Amino acid sequence: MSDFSDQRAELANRIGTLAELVSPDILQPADLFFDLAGEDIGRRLMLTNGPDGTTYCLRPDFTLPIAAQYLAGDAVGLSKNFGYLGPVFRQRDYGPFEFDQAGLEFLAPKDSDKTFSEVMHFAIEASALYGETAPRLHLGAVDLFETLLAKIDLPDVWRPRVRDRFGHDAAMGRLLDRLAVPEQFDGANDLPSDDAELTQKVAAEMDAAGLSPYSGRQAEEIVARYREKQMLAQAAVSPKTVRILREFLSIAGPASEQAFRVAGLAKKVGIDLDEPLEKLMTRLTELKATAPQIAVEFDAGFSPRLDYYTGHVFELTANKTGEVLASGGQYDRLLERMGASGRISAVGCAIWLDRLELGAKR
Amino acid sequence: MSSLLLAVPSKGRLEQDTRDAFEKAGLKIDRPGGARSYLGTIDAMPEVTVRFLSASEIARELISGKIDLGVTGEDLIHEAAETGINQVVIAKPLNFGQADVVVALPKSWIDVTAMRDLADVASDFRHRHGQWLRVATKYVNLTRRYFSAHGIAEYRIVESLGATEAAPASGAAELIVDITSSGSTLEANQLKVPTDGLILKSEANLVASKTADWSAEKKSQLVALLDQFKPGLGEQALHTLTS
Repeated sequence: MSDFSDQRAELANRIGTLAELVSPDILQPADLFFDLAGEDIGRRLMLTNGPDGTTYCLRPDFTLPIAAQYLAGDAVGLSKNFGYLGPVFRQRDYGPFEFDQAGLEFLAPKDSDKTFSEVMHFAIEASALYGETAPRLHLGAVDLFETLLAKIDLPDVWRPRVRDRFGHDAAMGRLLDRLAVPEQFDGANDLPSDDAELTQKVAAEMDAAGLSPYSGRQAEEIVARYREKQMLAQAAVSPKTVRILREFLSIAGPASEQAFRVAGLAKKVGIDLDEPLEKLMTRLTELKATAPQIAVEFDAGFSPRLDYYTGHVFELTANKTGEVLASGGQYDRLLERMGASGRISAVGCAIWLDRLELGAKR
Repeated sequence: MSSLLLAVPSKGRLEQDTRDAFEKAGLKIDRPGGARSYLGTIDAMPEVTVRFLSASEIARELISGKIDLGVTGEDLIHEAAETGINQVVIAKPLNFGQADVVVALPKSWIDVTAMRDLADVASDFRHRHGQWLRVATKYVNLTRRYFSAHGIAEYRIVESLGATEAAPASGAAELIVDITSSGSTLEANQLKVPTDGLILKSEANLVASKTADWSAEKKSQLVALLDQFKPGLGEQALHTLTS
């Protein structure tokens, strides 16, 4: 099937030395993916229905099936290293819908920082197997942004909304525009100014429309957001906050310089980012020592748009074409989202074998 | 077999309007077997085969190239396949079958007037309820594209194939994306459309398939037929079809 059986054997061999090679079912319950990633991933799924109406999909990646398998087993909370190599299925704009990926998922690692390095170096070595010896490394730090967001002067209600748009430049840009230039209040102005009265009015309207007072958006919730919108129109968010967020998100380029820019910004605005910044510096120093051939770019706004990522995230791109060859990161929120009783840290990466093989043929 | 295959809606208002439009263009469609027959003829162009199909089936078959030309709505083309619109050429809007695909939500959501509000609501809803905001619709592709263009990711689609407007009251979804022509159904269900909640203005169109097998003979039949509607239309459509 492949002209690259030697490389694949070598890759499987390396995965085997680092982790337990697993192959979760190709057919997976679609809800697993919809629940974690919503419609963004939904439109990529290859779906099919069972006779009882259950919707299944062909696995679009290995991460969620492996995590689900781990949670269903009896070793939850124990450190486990999994690896994989096999086909995944996604609808995409070009290229076949079935393509091969290889990768690692280290669940509950003892030392996440060290594990991240291990995973990243595995991806670098995998690329080298296919002749891509000097890929570019695109690095992001979700923890750095989350720390800034937690400490910056901003009404609490906006923090999760800003977080949800992290990694999506256009949506983030629009949100910051709204915060910067308060929009005209466009709600009805003839509504009661008393909260209890307004809540009652909304509840009555819900009742008239036959909406349940117990499911969906509640009257209190609607009124709270209505008030908050009124407040925003009176400029509740400081322009300084928006400026800082914008400046932070625009920091991108050769990694060592960017780390200093982040440090400079933190100092200038008096927000303590020391801990995540130190982690970033350590990562960069380590990379310089262990992979000097790699050009590292740091991008403060870079993240997969999935809110279970928590730490450093990376992409390896082909030196010439810029195509993504591997991507990965730390995702400490995933297992908890999937039902684990507490936070369990995790680090992983996926390698696009089809792209590496195509690149090697060129 | 090299005769042009034309599909027209098989029932109701759409069928009548289509036949009226064709008659006005001098192409009266006969349905010899009446409403139970699915084959028809055009006296003025006996070489053309006419089939009566449902409008959504016409959309599907135009995309897959099983029919050459058909009358259907743009909304249905979008819904039949995500990139279906790229497989067809909209040759002529027919000025009937107007319908808007819109986002509609409970009037009691006094805090929502525009799509940007919905982006906040979707985000808040997930954090507050630990569930995705649910959107009931049969327009899955259009919804995904429109929501994504507005930066809304925190929602799930609940597929609905009938009485979508009742989904908020039945608790099946928080809001809907549906088709409306007069707005009266929305009004009756106490739903409102955000200021920028219009996804698509749709109407019945003469649509040609790019994926159909176009022999020289069929091409000339297509040109002749379209020219009946407006001189020059045939060449224009042929040009887009083959470029």
